[in-house]
Amino acid sequence: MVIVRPASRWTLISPSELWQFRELGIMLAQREISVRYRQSILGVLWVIIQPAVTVLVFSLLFNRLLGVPSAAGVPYPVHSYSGLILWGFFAGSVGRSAQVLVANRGLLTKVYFPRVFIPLSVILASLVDLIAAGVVFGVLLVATQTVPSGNLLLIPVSLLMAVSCSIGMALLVSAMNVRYRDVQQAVPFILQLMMYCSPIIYPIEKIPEQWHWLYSMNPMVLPIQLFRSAVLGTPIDVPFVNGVAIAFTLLVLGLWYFHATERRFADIV
Amino acid sequence: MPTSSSSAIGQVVPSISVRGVSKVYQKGGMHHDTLRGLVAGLFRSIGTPRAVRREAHWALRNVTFRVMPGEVVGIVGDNGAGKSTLLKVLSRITSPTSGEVILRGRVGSLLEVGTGFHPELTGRENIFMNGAILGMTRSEIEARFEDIVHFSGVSNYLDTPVKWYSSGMYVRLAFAIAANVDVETLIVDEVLAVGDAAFRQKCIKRMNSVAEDGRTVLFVSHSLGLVQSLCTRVLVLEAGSVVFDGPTANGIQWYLERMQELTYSDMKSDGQSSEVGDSDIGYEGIEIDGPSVGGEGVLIAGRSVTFRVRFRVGNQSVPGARFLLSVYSEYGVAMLNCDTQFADSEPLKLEHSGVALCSLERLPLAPGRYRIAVAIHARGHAVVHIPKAAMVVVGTSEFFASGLSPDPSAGVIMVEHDWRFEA
Repeated sequence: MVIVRPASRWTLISPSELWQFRELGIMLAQREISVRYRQSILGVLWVIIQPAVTVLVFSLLFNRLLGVPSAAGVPYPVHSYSGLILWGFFAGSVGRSAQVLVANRGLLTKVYFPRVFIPLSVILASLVDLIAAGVVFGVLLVATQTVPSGNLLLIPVSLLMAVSCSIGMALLVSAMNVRYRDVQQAVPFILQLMMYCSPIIYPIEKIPEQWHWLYSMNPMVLPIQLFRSAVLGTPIDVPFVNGVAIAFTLLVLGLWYFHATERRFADIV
Repeated sequence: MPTSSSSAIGQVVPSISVRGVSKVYQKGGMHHDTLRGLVAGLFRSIGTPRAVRREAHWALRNVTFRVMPGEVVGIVGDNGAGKSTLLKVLSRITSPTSGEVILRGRVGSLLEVGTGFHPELTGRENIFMNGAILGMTRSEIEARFEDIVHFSGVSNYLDTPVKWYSSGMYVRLAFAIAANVDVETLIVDEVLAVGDAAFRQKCIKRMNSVAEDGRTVLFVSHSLGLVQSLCTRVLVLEAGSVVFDGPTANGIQWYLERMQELTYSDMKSDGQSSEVGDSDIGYEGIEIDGPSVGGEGVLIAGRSVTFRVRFRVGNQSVPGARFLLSVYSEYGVAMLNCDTQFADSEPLKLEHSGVALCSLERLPLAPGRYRIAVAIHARGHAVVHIPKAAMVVVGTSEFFASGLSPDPSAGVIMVEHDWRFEA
């Protein structure tokens, strides 16, 4: 039995409903993945080419030419790739989410299902890309003869935080874009700024200690530092509590805003 | 004495229960597509009183009804009466402003065929995708896969992306999936208006069998003929409210009469205004005479009808006059054209005001709604053009001795004809 009532603003998500529609969620993610590289010659290779070429350019430009150092005792390509890996997941999820609800207008206005599956399918598809990027990272470690030396248990923690930030941000951005198309213009630009403000090109040591509190407001700084520390044994150097609080707030804010606005998507998209 | 259990069994629970549902859309001042619009709107709203700022449009107003299992209910009403909004609320696509809806069992809604079809995916992949959207599990889709493919008739193109499909194939596949969904309640909006006649017959048969299985169907259509042949009960919506709820035959009759009332009052207000220029000949109005059925002016196909076009002539006589009367289907397709030049090629010379009578001995139009347009020429030029002089409703047909008339999808104009058989 289903009861349809005017929208309530004060709930976040209904797990039982998500479970009920789980098969559709999986299908949407499958569709997102299988459509992404259709009718492209290189296909899935794009998952590897993008970070590989980025690391190559970073290494040549920033490291060789401009003399930007890497985190202590880590080869520069390994340093920048270890940052790019989670960043790529975050930026891919959020970047693609901005327009995803508008692109699926046909679904929104013609059929009911938990709308949250649409941005979630983007994140699931990005997770698959993340796994591929992880394999490339392994190859890079072997090629540069870098021995993993950190606390590998931190890897799942960093992943969890990155996923939480991505979901929160993706929900926020996708729901806002239904109403304000400015968002799709602003997102690539904001993501670019956020990348400059995270320890990918340069090590965190380059940021003066007294500014770390502000620097760590970027939700992706802690996950990147955690991941790098987990694999390469570098110090984390940012307050843990801040990062967790930010990731959690972002997630709750995203869920709340999405839920508060989703009942009207069909009317205004 | 199994009193308590028998009462529990005997009590049939409605599949759909709608209680006091209203839906209000805010017009203006509300939808800002850009942040700049929002900011500008905020500033503007400071200066304007609240009532002016938000004009409310009531798409649904206090709608209440219940549908029992096994009922096939048709929803009719003019464009903008709230049919689509009602279906959207029932399908949970948009939420009501007030009131509540209780749905029992699985509800499948077909507001448009092919929802969720992705052009890059193959037919096979889209069957799974669309099935999931309609609420089927993967194993259910697998169990139905052969039926779906067989019904659609696109088995040779299953591994082709649907973007290469013809529109006919696309629609057939989409409907085949929808028709094979196992739901207790099916909500259908006009999907039958697509596809060729043979496929449409297949779809109607399928919908009938769904109802015979004791499942509930809610059907919205512009085609009164289809509603008549499929539904047992009819809801008539007008300006967001349910104005009739009862058996199909009565409902359609009620709707037709109401249409007549509205179009006549409509005509009085805008009939004259669309006159072209001021000249020595003018259009005064139109009356339609003929045997009618049910309400005032509901015509009978196969019987006589006379269109009386009243016109006014000024002080001078009008040479080179010509009258044209055209009949359009409710979708705007030209059906018939009656022209004074066809009957008599001599140019008319009109001396004074009067009535031009255009008589059809046997009205050849199948039951449905039609629009009459009138044009008057003088001195070889069109001086009056009234695109919506009248709306007429043809209620029943006596054109053929059998009393049957073609399905509007197969043909609208009836002509006498013979069948012979030779060895």
